[in-house]
Amino acid sequence: MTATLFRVFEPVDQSVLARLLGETFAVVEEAGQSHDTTYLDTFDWRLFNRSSALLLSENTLTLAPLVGSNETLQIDVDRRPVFSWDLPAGPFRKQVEGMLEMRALLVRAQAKTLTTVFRALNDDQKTVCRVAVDAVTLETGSDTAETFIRLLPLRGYDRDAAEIADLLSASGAIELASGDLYFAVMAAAGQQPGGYQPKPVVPLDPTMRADAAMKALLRAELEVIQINEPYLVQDIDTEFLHDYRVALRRARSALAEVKGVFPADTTRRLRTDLQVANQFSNELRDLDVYLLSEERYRAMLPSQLRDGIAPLFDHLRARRAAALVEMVEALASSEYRRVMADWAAFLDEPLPSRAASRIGSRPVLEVASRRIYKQVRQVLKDGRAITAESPDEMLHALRIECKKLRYLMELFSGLYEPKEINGLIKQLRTLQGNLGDFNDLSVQEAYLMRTAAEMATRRQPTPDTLMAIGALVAALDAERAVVRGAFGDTFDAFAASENRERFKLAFGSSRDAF
Amino acid sequence: MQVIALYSNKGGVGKTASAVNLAYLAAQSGYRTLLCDLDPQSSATFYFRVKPKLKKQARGLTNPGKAIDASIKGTDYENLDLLPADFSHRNLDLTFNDAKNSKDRLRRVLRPLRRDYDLVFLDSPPTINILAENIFRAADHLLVPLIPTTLSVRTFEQLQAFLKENRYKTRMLHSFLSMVDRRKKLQREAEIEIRNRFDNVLTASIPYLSLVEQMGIMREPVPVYAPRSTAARGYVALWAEVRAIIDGDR
Repeated sequence: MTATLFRVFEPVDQSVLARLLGETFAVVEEAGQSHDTTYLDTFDWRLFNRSSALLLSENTLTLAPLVGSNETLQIDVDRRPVFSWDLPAGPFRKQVEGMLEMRALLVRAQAKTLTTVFRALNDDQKTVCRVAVDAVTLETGSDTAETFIRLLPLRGYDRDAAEIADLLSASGAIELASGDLYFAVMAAAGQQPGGYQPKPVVPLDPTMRADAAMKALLRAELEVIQINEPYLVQDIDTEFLHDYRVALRRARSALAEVKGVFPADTTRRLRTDLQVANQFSNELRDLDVYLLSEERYRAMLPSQLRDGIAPLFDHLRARRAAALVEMVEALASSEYRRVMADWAAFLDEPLPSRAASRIGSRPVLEVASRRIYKQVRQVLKDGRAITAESPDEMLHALRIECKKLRYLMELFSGLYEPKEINGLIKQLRTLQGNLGDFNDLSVQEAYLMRTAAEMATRRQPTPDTLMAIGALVAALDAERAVVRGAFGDTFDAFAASENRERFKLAFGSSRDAF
Repeated sequence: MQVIALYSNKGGVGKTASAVNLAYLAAQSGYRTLLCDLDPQSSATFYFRVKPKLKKQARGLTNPGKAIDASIKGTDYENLDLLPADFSHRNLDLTFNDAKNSKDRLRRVLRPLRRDYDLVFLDSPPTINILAENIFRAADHLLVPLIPTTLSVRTFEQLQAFLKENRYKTRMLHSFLSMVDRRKKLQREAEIEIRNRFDNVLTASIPYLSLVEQMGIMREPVPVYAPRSTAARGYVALWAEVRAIIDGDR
């Protein structure tokens, strides 16, 4: 296919374009117009990561593919959307909500574009191609415009468009892929599409000292925390807090699960500190999860009870507002600031020339593999002990062991072949999905019962509301039974011999056996 | 996609000029528009500076869907494409007689375009043969230019009778006055007679002006080279009425 986008390194007006096209085509100016374009994406670049760009220009919202030939979608909007649910229902929203989920759209760049459309005419004075010249200036960048030329071929005149493309190339214009305008704007705006990784994979030298490697891993988690922290107060969407908390837990888990790398009292102190930091937002995150499930909960109810559930969510929203204030205050507290400063100081301390412990001085690959493989065996052992009659506590305990294994594998994933480690993580994730659903449903049932009791003492819930909550608990409980029933097969699939063999190959040494 | 045919069994009544200007105005209003030049004289094709030369690969294609796709040309105007006269000349007229369901041939040829265009204008030659029946079957609306003369009344009555006899919906038939010269007493009288006798005559009328004839020299629609002229205003008013008809139909 002929390229339709070019970059040129001089301002282009009619005479310049006529010169670029040589004697072959006459050039007539047709129309000029200036418009502002806002480039939208989530904090973690969900659209970019799916090769899409979302642009707002005047009232028109455009979803364009950055590569490939997917269809460009457009709709008109009254104002800049923040969440996918701000968009009118329809195919556009469907496409966008699949990518955004619960994340908010942020302004990633703003550009002013002066577009002038020219027509290229043949000897019959017939228009054979439209040529649009875009002079793009960043709102925040320097004043110099970058110039792009777009070819808009006419139906039935492809050969003329190809000839014009050749003429432009011959006169020094650079052919671009269609998405390159996006990259040029992002670069000029100082943005790095896809640059944020909520779960950083730290590249590690397998032979490096375990204590040095651990510090590198912990530093990466601290970075994720520091990136997200300023946004928590702004309450833009729920996922800043989620990523922040995951990083805290991964760091704490690393300290807890790989014992003996640092001096014991240091490890203990940091673990306690990180747990304290995590507790500041426990309630807020729980409420976020319930509120994100509002639609799902409503759908679980018989239609005559759906309106009855509204007071429950009003109650949860009020509690969330209070929980947010509490968290914001906690983040500003001297205790929290001390915890974070202490942690950063520990990471900045130079490593002692000799590790503080024997394990700390071992190569990281050895330490990681041993620890991961031990945890694999723990999960297999605990899982095998569970029968259809086992109490819930055993499943909850297994869930915790799986979570530890997951954090370990993800933390150290930079040490292993990506395809292999990701394949194993995927296996584990399936098992975790079952255990996580079971736990979530148990917790949600208990929470709803507690909340109903609380509402009954403090407010005057209508019978409708209490019945709706009861129906919801029943629906959750039925689902919980289904999930519990599926555990056996899910675990057997995870513990199948070929899977055990893969784990052994990746992490085990010859001395270890199942 | 809606199909509007400019049709008359008389020549020289302003069909092509109306088709070109209406198609242009429709495209300007945002309708994705295709003008099909079914007239072997290929005047519409000439007005849009498209060379009446068939692409080699399009010739002799047995699949009319592919043939029509390869033959369509973009005009100088946004949203407006043209199917040049040679396409119909080579792909329709010759085969009308031997194809089965030959009265449905044009309708079937246009069908693959229904996602590409909102509106299709057919500029047809003065005929009442098999091509005419193809046009009647393909069109959602017939738009008949009438010159205000007594003769026009007769031919229009004949057309109405034909459509009725062959069970076409008479609702699809509309007419408007074309090449109107109000300085002529006979025309003024004929206009009154036409408007009294038929209830499907649109209000807008197109004046007889040398300006319209200059289209052949300018090779552009009238609203482009003389936007404030009486003729341009006539076409704009006519398009407004046609638009109301098609929008009411959706």
